[in-house]
Amino acid sequence: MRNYIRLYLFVLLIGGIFVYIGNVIPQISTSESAVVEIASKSPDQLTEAGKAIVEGKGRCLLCHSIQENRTARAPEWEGVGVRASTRKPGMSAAEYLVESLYNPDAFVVEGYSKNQMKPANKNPIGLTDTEILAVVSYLFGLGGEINSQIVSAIEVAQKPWMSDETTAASAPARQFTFPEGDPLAGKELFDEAGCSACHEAPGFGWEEDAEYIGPNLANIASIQNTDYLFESIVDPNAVIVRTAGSEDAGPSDESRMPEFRDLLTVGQVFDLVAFLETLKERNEK
Amino acid sequence: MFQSMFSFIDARMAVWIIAQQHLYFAAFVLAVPMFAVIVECVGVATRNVKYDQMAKEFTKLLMLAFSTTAVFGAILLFLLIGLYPTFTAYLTQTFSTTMYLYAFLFFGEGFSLYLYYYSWDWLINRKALHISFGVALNVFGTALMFIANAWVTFMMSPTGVDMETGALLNLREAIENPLWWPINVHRLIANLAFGGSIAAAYAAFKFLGAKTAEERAHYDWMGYIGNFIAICALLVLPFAGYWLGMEIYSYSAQMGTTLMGGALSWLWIIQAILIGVLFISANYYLWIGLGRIPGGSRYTKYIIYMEVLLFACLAIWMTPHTLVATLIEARKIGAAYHPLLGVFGVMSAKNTVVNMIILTTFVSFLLYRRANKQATVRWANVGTTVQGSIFAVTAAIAIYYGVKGYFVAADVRIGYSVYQVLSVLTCIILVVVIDIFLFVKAKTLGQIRWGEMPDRSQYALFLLAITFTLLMGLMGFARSAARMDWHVYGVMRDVTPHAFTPTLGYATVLIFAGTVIFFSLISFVFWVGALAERKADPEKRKTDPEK
Repeated sequence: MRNYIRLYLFVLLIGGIFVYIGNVIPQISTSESAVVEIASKSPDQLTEAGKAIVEGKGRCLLCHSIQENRTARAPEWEGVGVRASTRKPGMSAAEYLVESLYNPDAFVVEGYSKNQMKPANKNPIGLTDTEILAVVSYLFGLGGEINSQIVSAIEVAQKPWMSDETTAASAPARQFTFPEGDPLAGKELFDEAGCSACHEAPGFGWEEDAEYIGPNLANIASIQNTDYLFESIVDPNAVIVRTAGSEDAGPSDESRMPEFRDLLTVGQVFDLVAFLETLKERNEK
Repeated sequence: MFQSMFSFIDARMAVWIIAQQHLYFAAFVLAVPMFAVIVECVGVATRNVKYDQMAKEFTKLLMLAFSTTAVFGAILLFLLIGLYPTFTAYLTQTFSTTMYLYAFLFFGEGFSLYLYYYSWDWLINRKALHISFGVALNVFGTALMFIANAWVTFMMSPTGVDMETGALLNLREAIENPLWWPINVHRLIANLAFGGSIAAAYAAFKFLGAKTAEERAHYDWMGYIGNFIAICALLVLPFAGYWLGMEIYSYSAQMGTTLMGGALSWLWIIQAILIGVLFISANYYLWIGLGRIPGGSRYTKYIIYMEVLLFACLAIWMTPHTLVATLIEARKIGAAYHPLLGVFGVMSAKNTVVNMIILTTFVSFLLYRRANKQATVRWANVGTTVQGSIFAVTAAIAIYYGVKGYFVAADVRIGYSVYQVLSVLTCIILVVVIDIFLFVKAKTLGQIRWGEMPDRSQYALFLLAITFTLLMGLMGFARSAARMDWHVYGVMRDVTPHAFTPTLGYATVLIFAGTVIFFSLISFVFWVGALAERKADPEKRKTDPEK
């Protein structure tokens, strides 16, 4: 019997040390993947929800880091909102970030490996489209800015991924190449056609704190692609971006911008788009 | 149901504790036949009846342990059906064919076990036939384990099913999922190590209670054999572990990162401590053992160096790396990783030191093996020099790839562990081969004085068994927790209130409780085994009233 007691006490001693060590180290308990409530699609709410998803359900910070980290398994995010527009030629920041979540292997940043991340809308990450919108909004805010215009741009970029028609293997592709326009002619046209009456753009001196009816275009080329700009000119109702100025002008389901499809020639539209594509802030990394 | 019966036991805790007991006993029931057959074969090869007696003594313990395993298996099944009906129904639906086979194999294992044990004396002169029963017992047991492994690994790395609906598309693919073979191999080796350690603990238990020098000698020898088998398996176990880790990472980088660098990162520090304890206790036992070997004192001067190397390697192995830190903590550190921990806490450093620990333990074995021998071959000095050079080259390879690993991508880095492992395995094989030829016709400096071991050495064997048991529980938790809130990863989500991953502190309490229960029950098995011994030998009992 004495041996049984000895053995038992020894088990208790070793097990006790084991439990002690197990309890003195930091205690981390992970919660289940609850659906994040996103009450509205305002930039602030989306950013807040996106942060919660990144730190919680999405478990993004397992591999990504906000700050610079040379040993991280995935690219760091500081400044990604601005940097994203330069990653893939012909792709706006919104398109690039959206693609990065729906099809992470479509473009892999140099120095990192493929097959590290599953599509965020599929299990086991399993984010909803709205949650992905929130995450991309949050990413835009990291070093860049997030506003309702960008949110709209993200939503547009999400559209092809939201149905089964677009698969990872067949990402949306442009049907033809736009002819090159003349940006200088486009700049003149921007003033002549009255665009500068409602939109802010560099070189068109407006008061600093004025509120415009139309979205600020000062950095439009960083967040939108050619297709979007073309569509906005010929069909302003396709996507309506709400701004403080437009709200002041009274609620409306329709854009206050005239459809320029009948007011401009095709060549002028290309010139205007060429000018808009030059509107990038110079603070990109 | 459980809330009304025991207010402190929830569904997950109930399944956890019972599953752990089932696994402990299953490991014991699978390991002891492996152990017994190997020992019996050694007995036949060496014509030493002691081995045969030891094999039989352990097989006797199997009878009650086998029933206990089955009872825990049945309780586990009832709990799963009652507490997790949807998940159990899905798993049953997916693997129903294999479940019928499982039941059939269970009969096979039971019958072959009884045949193996009860025919021992009857077939004492027909050893080949008797050993074939033992082999059959192992085949049935291993096949059972492989089938259960298919279910368990499917939960982690499901294949052969529609990932959206979970519908079975191909049963073979579901069975042969990416983690099936890594787990099969890992569990097979781990079971052998576990069985060896339990056998050694049994011997230690008997040693401490021995009344005669003869008994002490017998159980000292038995403890040595148990420790030898446990450590042989332990030496290759980390390689199987790294293979498993690689496959987990290949299947899902997210799961791999969750396991290694996320909320479970501290778990690996505890694992490192436990494995460190295993290696230290095994080495300590061998070093003490040199004292009972004539000529052993020639090597005691090296112990201090091996000790320093072991502890230095373990310190690096225990160094945490990717810890979940708050933003404030991260800012205090000044980067995502602590500058020092960032160097020692990464996989390159850990892989390297694991290989160094294995090499050191192998050196301990080598010294123990040659302690009472004096080589007589003419090339003795050259042979020893070559062995030393092989060790040096192997250590250099391990360190080289360890350092190089800092400068390459993660997927390349993980491949370097293969080179390190291969070099260490090659070293072990080459050195053993040279050693065998080196000590052919060696001069013996004296016989090992079995039984002349201090009591504290036996606690090293207890420590080995307890630590293995804790480690098994911990690794079971790691495997389950890696799935996060999924019953079947990416296919069936756990939507119960217990879907969250508990803290490591909570897990260690449950693992500890499971270990205490297991040792209580296995002690009972030992006690019942001793009862049978007394009944079988009344004459001996008369002469020794203390027993």
